[in-house]
Amino acid sequence: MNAMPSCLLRVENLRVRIATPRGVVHAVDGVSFDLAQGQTLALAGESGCGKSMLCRAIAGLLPAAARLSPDAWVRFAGRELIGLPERDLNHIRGREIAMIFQDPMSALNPVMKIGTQVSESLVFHLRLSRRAARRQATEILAAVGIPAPDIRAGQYPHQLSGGLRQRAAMAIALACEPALLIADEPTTALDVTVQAEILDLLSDIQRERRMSVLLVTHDLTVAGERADAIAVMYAGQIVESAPSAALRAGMRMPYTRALTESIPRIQDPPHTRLKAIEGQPPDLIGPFSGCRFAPRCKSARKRCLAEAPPLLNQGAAGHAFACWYPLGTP
Amino acid sequence: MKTAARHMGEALPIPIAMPLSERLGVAFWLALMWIAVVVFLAVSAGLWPLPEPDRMDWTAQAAPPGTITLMPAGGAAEHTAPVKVLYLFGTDTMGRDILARLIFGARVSLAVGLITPLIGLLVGGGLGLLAGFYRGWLASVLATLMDTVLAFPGLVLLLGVTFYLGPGLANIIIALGILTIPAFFRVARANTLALAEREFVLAARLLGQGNMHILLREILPNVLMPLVVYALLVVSYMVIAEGALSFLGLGVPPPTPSWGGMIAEGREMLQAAPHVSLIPAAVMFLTVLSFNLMGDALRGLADCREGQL
Amino acid sequence: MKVPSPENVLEVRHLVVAYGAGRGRMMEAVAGVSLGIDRGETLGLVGESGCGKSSLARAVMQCPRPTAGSVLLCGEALGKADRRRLRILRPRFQMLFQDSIAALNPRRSVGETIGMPLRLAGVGRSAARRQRVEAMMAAVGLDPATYGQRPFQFSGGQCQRVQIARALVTAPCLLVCDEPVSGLDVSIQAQIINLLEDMRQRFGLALLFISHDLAVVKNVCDRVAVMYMGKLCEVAASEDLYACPAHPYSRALLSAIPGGPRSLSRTGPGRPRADPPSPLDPPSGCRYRTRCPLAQERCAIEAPVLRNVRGRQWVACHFA
Repeated sequence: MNAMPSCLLRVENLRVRIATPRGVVHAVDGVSFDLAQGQTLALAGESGCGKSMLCRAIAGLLPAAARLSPDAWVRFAGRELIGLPERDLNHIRGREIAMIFQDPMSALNPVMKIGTQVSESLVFHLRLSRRAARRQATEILAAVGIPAPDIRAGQYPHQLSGGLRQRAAMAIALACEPALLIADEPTTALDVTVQAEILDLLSDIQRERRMSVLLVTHDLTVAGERADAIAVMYAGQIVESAPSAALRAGMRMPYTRALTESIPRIQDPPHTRLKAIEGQPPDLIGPFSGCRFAPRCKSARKRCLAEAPPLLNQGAAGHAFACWYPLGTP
Repeated sequence: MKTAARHMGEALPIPIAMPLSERLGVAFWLALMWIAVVVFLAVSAGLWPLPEPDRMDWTAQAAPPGTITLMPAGGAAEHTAPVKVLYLFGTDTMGRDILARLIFGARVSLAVGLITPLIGLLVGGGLGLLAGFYRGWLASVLATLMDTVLAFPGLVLLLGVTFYLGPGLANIIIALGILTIPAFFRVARANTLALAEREFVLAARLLGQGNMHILLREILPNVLMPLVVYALLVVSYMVIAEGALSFLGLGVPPPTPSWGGMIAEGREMLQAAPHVSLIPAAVMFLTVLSFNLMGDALRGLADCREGQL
Repeated sequence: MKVPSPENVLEVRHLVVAYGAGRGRMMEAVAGVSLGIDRGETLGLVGESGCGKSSLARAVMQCPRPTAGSVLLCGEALGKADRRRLRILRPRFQMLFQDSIAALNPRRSVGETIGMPLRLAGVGRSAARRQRVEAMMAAVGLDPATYGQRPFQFSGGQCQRVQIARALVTAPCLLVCDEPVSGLDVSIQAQIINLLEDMRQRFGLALLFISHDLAVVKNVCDRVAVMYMGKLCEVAASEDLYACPAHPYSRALLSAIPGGPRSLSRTGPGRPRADPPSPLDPPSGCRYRTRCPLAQERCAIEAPVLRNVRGRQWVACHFA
């Protein structure tokens, strides 16, 4: 992806390694991408591909056993985030970078009222008085579509349904009008009707505030519908990234195509045989040789197993993929 | 203030899986060694060339560690040469060898420390398992009963039981064992309640397994680990409890040595001959610490195995 | 309703599952559901969380027994079977759970877990049982050499295969699947769906497939039943349901599928308006009326019953 003039977030060469009893897990292995202002980038991939760990690395929320590589940099609005002291990072987190998580129940404090949780952020970051913060909290709750916000502000998380809880979590995240919102599978735990509502809300707010969104999802269709650009991850690396329309029009990486084909489609009749990807998701503990997807790839050849293909910007504008024999080559 | 993100300096040193021995930690192995030494000495107490634990040497009262005296070997009638006796840890106020008393006292402490949790485990754990699985009003009554015993001041209960049963090692073990039952009951019941709701129990039921089979084959193996880990911690409590009882004079009656009694005996000489109290106190401290460390390490191992990255 | 035929494997009539909700109140998780499945047929059950799908599944499995109504397995009433008879019948109807890892005893090897149904039914000796277990493991795509390993050494998808092997080792005629692929990765999900299809053909299974993922249901099921707050809204052949859903709730569900033919229809009558009502105090008459764009007075007074609107499509709505 080309760096646009108003590039808000720039990640270069990010590697995250975690020491476990079984060995060193390479959760994220050399990821680089740009995110422009007002743009939505979807990180799509299955569980274990490193997308959640990548988000945590950007927000500085890595687990204690994780280590970043020394040559990685994460530049947000021109500031280098890696190596920033905790105090400065606390001022950026919540204010300029916000995050919402998959399970709203664990993201909300169960013993604190909703309104208080929203105003807490306002008091800390914007230095508002308690009363002003409370008033603004009610407004924000209304803005995320929670009906009867003044009543809901006085309730506890367990009194709200799953969809409302996720809205409340979004209210907390958006309270200080961040420039970047990281949404880690925000709708996976919700019912399908609520999912659509939450994603609509996200699009609306993003458009209003020109906010950038990093949307993590395992659902390529959702990514295709809601994001401007998609980066497909596998085994800790980005294997294909392109603007949504370009990706929909033509996938070059066999993994992306295989992933799309293995999803059952509404249009197909019952008992259609799915084109499943053979094998198991890769072990993230080294050593590695060659392309990570090669053992499961139908179009793999000798070179794929020996040499790891680099992620290169080939083909149409902004369409990068890492494959020696992408789809469409003889 | 730590920096928000950590950097890899050099490459991470060990890219291989940690073996079991490392995961348990150095502390575990040291603790295990100490316990092994104590158990070995306690079991082989009579075989060591040490003075009798209750033989009083009035020539060497409260002697510091390392004292050597000459003891007449046989009776006054025999003219055998006097024997050199080394008091490795010194003697107590009545001239009795501290090391010998420690070793024999270890028997008491270990007996109490190891048997009482066993009582609690079997009775309390068993009842808790049944209460958590079958529920119903009987289980509620049982739980209330257990809570009552738990709320009762332990020492008063102990006094009552020993008064009724009389002094003696067996009675102390029974009394302390009864005291541990409620705690084990709660641990077993809580774990069983959680496990009984898990899908694999339902799956077993759907396959036609009867209640007793489910309890023994599905639930018990999973409850055993937390109970055993808890039992190890209770061991250390019991060692201290026995020590406290002996200190108060309510423990095993003399002349049987016990660590708590030894500490009590030396308390008037703390200034003049501190070793009389402090050495048994140090030994008790190390033993209790070792059991705690072992329990902690095993708990860490159990958690790690069940969880995933 | 479907007329019971000799091919009928499962028949559920007016099933009610009620739980005590404290203070003398009862909550009806399932409020009178009737359905039937033939041999070799797959019936899907869809609905949002809290609609009672799992309660229905458990009631069919008689664990716990339903409050009212009857469940017939190959013509035999399970409600009337006593404990011993039920134990004999158990190998003939089995269940798959959503959380595959929690459905396996962590302290037991997978081989023993798969062989447990055989052991309980008293089938053969241990050597013969082991052979059968290993054959089953190979059939579901597991390496028989992993017989002695524990569940924590397997991935989620592999644990699901273990579950499937355990459920099918006694060759049941009915398999109730409670969200069997919901927690799995997309690529593994496809493998498991293919595996279930293979097993269905091989064993001639009747499947009750519960899921909230409508695309998966379309792929797996011949017929689909849509459930809302303990009642069925619509039962139809998959193609018919997805092509022209008759019930407003079915339409709402289908319009919410990302990438579906009706998605992004934000102005249409698709989206339900309010939060779902509390199951403790369901709306009178039609339970969907508080969120239904077509609701009128009649809906509050009279609860609609399933009626045949065309072909194999049954709808419970006054205005469908």
